[in-house]
Amino acid sequence: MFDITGLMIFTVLFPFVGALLIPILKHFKLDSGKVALFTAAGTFVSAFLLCYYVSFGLFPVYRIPMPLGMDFHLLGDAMSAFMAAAASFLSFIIMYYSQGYIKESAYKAEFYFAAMLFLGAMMGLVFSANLAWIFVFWEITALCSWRLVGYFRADSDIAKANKTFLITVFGALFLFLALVAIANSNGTIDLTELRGATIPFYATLFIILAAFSKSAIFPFSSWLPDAGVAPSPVTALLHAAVLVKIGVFAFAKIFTFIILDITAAELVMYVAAISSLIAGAAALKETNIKRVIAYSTISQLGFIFFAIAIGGGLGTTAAFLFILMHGVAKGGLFLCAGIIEHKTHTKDITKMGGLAKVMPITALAFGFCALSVMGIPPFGGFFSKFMVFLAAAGEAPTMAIVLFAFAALLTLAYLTRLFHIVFIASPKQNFTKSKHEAPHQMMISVSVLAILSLLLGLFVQWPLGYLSTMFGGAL
Amino acid sequence: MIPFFPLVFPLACIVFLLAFKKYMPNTPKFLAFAGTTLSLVAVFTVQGTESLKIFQDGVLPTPFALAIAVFIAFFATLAALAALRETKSPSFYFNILLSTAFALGAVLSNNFIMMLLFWEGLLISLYLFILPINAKTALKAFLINAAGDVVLLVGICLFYLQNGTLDFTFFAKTNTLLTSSGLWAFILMFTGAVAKAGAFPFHNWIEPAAMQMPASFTAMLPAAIEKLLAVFLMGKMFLIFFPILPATAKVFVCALGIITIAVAAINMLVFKDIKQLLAWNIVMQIGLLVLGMGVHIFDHLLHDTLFVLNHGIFKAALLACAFFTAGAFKLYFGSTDIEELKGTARHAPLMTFVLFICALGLSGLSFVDIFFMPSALVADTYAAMPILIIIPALAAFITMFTFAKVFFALLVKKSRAKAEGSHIYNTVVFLSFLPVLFFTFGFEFSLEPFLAPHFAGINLSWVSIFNILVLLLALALAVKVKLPSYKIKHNTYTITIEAITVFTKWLYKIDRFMDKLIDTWPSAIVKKISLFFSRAHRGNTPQYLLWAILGLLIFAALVSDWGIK
Amino acid sequence: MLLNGIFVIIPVIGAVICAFLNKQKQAPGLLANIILLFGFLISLHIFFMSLGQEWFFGEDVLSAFMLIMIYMVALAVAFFAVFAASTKRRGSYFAILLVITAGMAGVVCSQDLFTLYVFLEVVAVASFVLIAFYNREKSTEGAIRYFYLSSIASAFILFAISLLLLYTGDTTYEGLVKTILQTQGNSAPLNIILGTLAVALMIKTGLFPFHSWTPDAYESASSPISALLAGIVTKVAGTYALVLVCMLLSIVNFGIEHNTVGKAIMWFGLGSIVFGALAAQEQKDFKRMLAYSSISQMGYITIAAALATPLAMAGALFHIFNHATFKTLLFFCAGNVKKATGTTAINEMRGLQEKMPYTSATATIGMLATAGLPPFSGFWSKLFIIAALWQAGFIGMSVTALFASVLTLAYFLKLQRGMFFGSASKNIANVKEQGMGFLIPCFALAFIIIAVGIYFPFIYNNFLSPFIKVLQ
Repeated sequence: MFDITGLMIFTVLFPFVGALLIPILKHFKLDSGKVALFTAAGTFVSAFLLCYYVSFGLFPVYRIPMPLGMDFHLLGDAMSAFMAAAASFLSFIIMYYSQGYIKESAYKAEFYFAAMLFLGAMMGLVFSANLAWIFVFWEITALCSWRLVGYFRADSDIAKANKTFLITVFGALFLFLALVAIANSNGTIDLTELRGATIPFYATLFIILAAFSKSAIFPFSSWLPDAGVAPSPVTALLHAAVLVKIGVFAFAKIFTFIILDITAAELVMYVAAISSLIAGAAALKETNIKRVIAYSTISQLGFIFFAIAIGGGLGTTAAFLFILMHGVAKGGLFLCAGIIEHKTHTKDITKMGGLAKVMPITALAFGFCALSVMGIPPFGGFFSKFMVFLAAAGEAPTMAIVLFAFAALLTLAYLTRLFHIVFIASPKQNFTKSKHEAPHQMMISVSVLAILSLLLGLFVQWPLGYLSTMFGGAL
Repeated sequence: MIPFFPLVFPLACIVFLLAFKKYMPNTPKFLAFAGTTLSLVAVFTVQGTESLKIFQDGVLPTPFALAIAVFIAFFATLAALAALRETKSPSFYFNILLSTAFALGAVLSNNFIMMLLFWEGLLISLYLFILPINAKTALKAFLINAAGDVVLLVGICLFYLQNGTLDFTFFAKTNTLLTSSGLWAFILMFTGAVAKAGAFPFHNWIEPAAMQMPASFTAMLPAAIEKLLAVFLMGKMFLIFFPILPATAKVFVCALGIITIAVAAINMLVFKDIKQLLAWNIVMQIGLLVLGMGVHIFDHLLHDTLFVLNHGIFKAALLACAFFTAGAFKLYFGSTDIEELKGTARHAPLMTFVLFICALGLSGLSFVDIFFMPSALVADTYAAMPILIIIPALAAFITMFTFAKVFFALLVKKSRAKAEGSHIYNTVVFLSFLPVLFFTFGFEFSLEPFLAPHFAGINLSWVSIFNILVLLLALALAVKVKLPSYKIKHNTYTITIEAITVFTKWLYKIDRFMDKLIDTWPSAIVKKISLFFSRAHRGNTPQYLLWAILGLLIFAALVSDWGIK
Repeated sequence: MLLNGIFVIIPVIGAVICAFLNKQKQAPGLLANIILLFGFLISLHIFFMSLGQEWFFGEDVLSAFMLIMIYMVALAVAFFAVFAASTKRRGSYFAILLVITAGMAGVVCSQDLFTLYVFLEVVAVASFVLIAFYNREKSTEGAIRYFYLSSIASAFILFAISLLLLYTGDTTYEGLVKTILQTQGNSAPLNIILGTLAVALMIKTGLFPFHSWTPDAYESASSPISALLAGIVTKVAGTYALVLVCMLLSIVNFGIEHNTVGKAIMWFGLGSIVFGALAAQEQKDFKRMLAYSSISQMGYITIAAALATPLAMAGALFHIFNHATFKTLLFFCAGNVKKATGTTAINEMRGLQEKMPYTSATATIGMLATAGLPPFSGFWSKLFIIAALWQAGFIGMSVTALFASVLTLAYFLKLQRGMFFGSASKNIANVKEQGMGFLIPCFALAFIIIAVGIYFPFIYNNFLSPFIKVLQ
């Protein structure tokens, strides 16, 4: 029997170690990309194993007492293990994609360093059971995202990276305030000690605002489309698969322990609904491929918030299933966008067209991922969307359900529009078909994610079964 | 997984097709035909495996479902055959197999989730079907059907909420009428069901699809399979819910039917092409079906089931057969435009005859239907609300009128070059005609005792006479009156798209405004303040001293609590 | 007392020796560094010895703590100055550096107000000289402005001392505490005295609106001197004494509720935080921006000190330490940039990360720490301050102080964008990273920032909780 606690600590620590090794090994002429890939792989393996053990009901705990109640407390419950496995898997795939995308440059090592630091912070955040440490890791991810978004170093890129950093830090400070407020009103900031407690309404509001800013819900969403200037693996990692899920995850985890006020839950539902609609509308209007996909992310994140606010076994199951399906599919979309950008050297869809002939594999992968996001069976996204609506029926206000139904319709509209304009419509310029659509690492990663979207749908009983058992949301 | 046994064949054929399409160019055709035929055979065998007791959760598909499945597979097979002459692209065959698989899956499921899975999966095959021919129509078809499916999804979720289960075996038991969420569940699910078949407002894709795609596609999907699916779900809804449906639900259903009929009628009158006419007939027929459901008195499970089956299958068969015929015309004479087909009756007499019978059936000639359905429809409508009788009458009138115009054109004396026939295609038309024949003339067989309870209480004679009179009037007017020629500028789809465009434009503005609020304005304000401070510190020493003195004063004031307290 | 006296006397002796070694190139620097290194080590020793001892103004944990900081920063500056100072009069330079160190040590070791005043003057004079050392027009101007405001401050201090003499006849801290305990009810005179002192010290610290000398002085002084000024001088000369005053005020008025002077100081602290953060946004010069940043950070220290609850005090002192490390580091980086590119203007030399990776990396660490980002040390001290403000009920102040972090981050991001984190501009082709001499202090300080941030529990248990216990 493994030492599960050791496994959990390893999952958190290994990426940090990897990150620190990158500059050191660079002096020994070891490629930073390979080091990062190895690190991500190792993290995924251990996170997956942890998930497996957790399914037997074994929850590891690790605690270092620290002054003022800010203990470094790691708790591996079902939510954390699942999120860790999903996030590390996506990181691994995206690191593999980066091997083909990131060319040799002065900043390559910094890229991988920041990516691994980010992964470590993500793992730390996911397992933390103390609000102070959640905040610490939250800010570390913001720091990493700043460096990663500004990777290309153009002045406008830096401006956008700064905007991302500032808006997410602004939101995170609400979490800081919540922490201070809860310490003051409840005497502790450890989640396990706060189990079943109620916190002042303003503290709940602060946590919600922090979650909204990190997970890009209107009105704190405008940083996400702007962050599309980042390299595609960064956008996929941060803004589709992992970083934007932090707000949602923290919201879910914190309110598993603390009681969520009904008014706050309804507030979240409505704001998320409005956000989904507005983002969907914006996606329909934009002509920059990455902005469209970014708005799509904002829209889908609204669904996840909706599911968590509904709560209960079914709601939580739906939310986490959605996190998984969305991460895979949206990551795939962004990576495809990267391949398209690589080929056409533009992000403007009005200059594209007819790419299905020139890059058939990418078109197919994009189609698979898009269908999953739209929620068309037999892809995985269908089950997650269906579960969300199923959980919502009866638990959520009807208006919210109607709004989300419209958001789902908008999703159909903008994704098909995107697919059509980019791949099907008559080309605005001529693209020549080359032997390789893109470096093989990029093609393989994209194909893996696309096929996974389909497989997760066909074999949905595995993730769904795991989640239902863990959260008690059986049908 | 026995109920899904018939799916194995189409799916296996798909796999083979994808694997081997490079090696043997004719494989797709062969595989498509094989897949669909085998699935047809398989459907028949499903019933026989009851004794093996290895079916899903102990629930076999009902005979109702099986009957529909049989016809789905049947029409798919015919389409595969017809496609042998109509197209060479392998993706067409791939899509035939995919559609068959999904449609069968939807019908043979035993709970709503699986059904929804297959139902929505049809979106993909529909899109892929039309995509190589016309991308825009494909998009249109996809979006419209997807919208309908979203409605269905929400309806199913409400159904779950209301009834706590998603099994097909559920039947409403209580006597209290449906209210709020249950009513909405019914309405949404019903709308979602008929959306597939082309009821208002989900009807705009059928005409362009029919015009642009080969006839085998239209015969198979919108005409037959989708209608069958819609009938399946419609019937299910009614059979489950009928005891507890409030009047509002029935009114809704009737209204939906009437609007659909009206829209179809308006569009039918300006037809120029047989396929166009038939496409709008699809819409008209689903409208009639819906109206019929709305006014029918459900009181006896068996004959209600038969009623639904008949309505659906007969009409599906008629439309499919008509489309195949149109396809034949296209194949032999190169076009389906009325002007160009003038005088072809003499070169294709059998086709014309088949089309004529189909026209009669579609127009609702009473005895051209084993159950005298049109009459029953009229009678029921009259029973529900006398004034409503105009609707089916008008429908019959317009259908007959337009078809008459077609026949007059076809029968015109005009010399033409003789056309090449195709044995396969003729066989297809013949096979598709068989169900029509059965339903048309089957009343000769002694089903009377069986049907007697159904007709108890309905006086068929005046209805039949009324029916024949309407049709004769249409025929007569068709001789003299010309077809109107108004242009239809707007349709539901374009209006919806425009509305969405405006709506999204405003929402986008809100998003950009919020960005200003969060980013642009605060940055600008901070910048202005900062520049102000910058300029206030430009080395003017007396100014510095002034600031200090100011500070001192404020300090003193604060310390003494502003001198007040 | 004698032991603490060492910290004053030895540097003075060293200064005299250095003055004679004026023309030597290596010797003065070497001597200064050795003296300061020893001083640093001894101060560490003393600190650990005095942990657990009674609270006693002038000879206690707080003094030892400040001594460590003084010697640490002075050592770093002296080391940096060996490489960075481009003057021929090295002996004088290091002599004055040692004098100012002695002066600061005297300030923190003094046990009565008059001694405090004397040493403050020593520090002030030495600062003028150092600011104006290179005889440039700007630096002389800067020094003169500092002089004006400093004189006013000194006048106020003298005024306060004389009032105190009138009132109690005793200027020692001991005497002051006795007086306080005697005059339980009648606190107005003491408030006035302490209030006057507070104003003077606010000028010395460079709080808004008494701050006007700060940007000019920091910008025009040479980099090691700016580092010294921002890193330790304003802290010792200003905040340390202010902290003392605030503690006394708190005792006089039995806590913050009735402490009008303390509250007034808090408002000024808040004002500084916001003003500094706002004003720094549009600065075009690295060092000027750092000056405004210092004003802002001093505000944090002041607001916490004035609040005077145990948690707040701990936060204030911790922030003094932290700020010493990051501001010194940042000024060193500014010095590196100046040496390598010839300018500290922000938007001129862009994308320096490529050419000066180490300076860039350490500067980034310093900036993020100042903004209060975890896992750096600045986060913990800010946490204490905000938490203390919230707990004491000053919700509005707490929130404002917290969100000023966003502004802090904003101007530093502007700096990064204009200098390091951007695409390289054409004119940096010949820029090279500075040598190890310049980088070692940077690395050392960065290391301290990260270590304190990560090993926070260690720092807390060993350094801060003693304070908190004693205060309670």
